[in-house]
Amino acid sequence: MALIAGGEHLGNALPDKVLCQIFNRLDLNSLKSASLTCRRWHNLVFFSEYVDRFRLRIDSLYRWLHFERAEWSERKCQRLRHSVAHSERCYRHVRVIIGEDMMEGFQSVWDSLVANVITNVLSLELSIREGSVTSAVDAVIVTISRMPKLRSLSLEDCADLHFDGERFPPIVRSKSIEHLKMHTNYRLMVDMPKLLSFDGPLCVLCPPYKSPLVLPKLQSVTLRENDDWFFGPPVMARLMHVEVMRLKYRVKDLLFIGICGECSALKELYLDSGLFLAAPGNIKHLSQLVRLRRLTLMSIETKRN
Amino acid sequence: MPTIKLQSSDGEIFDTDVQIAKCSGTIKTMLEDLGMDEGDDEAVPLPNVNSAILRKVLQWATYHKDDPIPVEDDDSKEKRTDDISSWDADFLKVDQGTLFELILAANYLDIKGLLDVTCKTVANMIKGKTPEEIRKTFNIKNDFTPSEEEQVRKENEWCEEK
Repeated sequence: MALIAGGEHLGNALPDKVLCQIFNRLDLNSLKSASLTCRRWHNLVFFSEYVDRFRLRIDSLYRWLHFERAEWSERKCQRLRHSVAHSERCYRHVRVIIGEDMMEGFQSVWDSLVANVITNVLSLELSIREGSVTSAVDAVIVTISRMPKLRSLSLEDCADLHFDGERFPPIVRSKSIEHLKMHTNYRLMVDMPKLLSFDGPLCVLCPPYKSPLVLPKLQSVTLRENDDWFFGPPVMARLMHVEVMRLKYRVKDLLFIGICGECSALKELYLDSGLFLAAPGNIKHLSQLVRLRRLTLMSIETKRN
Repeated sequence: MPTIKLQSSDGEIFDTDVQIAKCSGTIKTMLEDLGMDEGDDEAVPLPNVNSAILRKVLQWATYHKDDPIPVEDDDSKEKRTDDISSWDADFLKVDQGTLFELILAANYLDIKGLLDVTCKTVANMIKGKTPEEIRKTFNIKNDFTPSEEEQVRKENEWCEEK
């Protein structure tokens, strides 16, 4: 044992780089056990680049109570708040699963999380398990501008949920978000100058002001819902640098003409659910897309006279 | 067959086939950078590896000399540990001190295949064990205070794989 200095235990003999290679070979549970053996191993797992492998999951307590439905009681809330408030781990990925059972006290849990760990967060996923939790989602949304490194934001409903459609959607400002995914009926508006890719309904891209806030970097857009009544010059102005566009619903004349007329940078267009043209002649607008290299059209239908 | 001389930390000289010596990235770079040539009488000094370990390393490298160059794979994913060949498994039936020294030598000499299989072996010694069992296996001193340990345990509950 010549290389292992006297008095030093074996766990310390290996350099960080090698230990990380060993940790890479472990399943999550074994790795959690390894992180509990000593400070050095713990710090290596949770205070180095290595932490990228994990995400912090904030959930109601279903999981560890053997799938019995547990109510989000004040006591459990305190337990979570305590564990979050004392955390020194710099998580880069956070997933929050919001259900009705965690309405009570969610705000305080989120507040302590924001205060402690959120400044390093690169990606945030919000899953909404039940409806009528708008205020909990709002609590998260208003803090996004305080996450200076956040690059990817994703919101999704587990079911087709209903949110208050009457209210004015909150404006989310972020100078760092590059990827936004919105598979939800929750609505917001974006002021994200760094946005590169968007996946969600068109209405989310409606500019929050009269004068359009440009999205100069937006290159890739996937639209999922037939909501082209939101279509209009301000939205299209935000799409003028988009190079790849995919539409998951049947596109009709108005939006088709708008895309052809405004999205002059478009190189690839995928109409996954086809095109419906009331006036067949409108297809000629396609010739305006001079940079288009790839077009996928599942079907074209026209109105019969 | 061209050979070169390798000198271990305790001064022993190993006449080694160049092809085998070059499975070590470190030796390969040294030979290229220092302009050392085959048949050169000067020995390549390896101050971090003793003769017992160097002998083991060369034994491994000789057996594996015709292996394809391993490809770099994604570091963030959990990798297999159940694919250790029976020759390697037998080769690595050594005491823990020797195993760790082999890891350090593979790391220093930059021999990816050997580092890989030794890390797998250590991972297999950790898998499925409780923290206390792991400490016992590797003679690790628990330097957490009880409340720190409790905090880590609690926080781990909120942690999942990305």
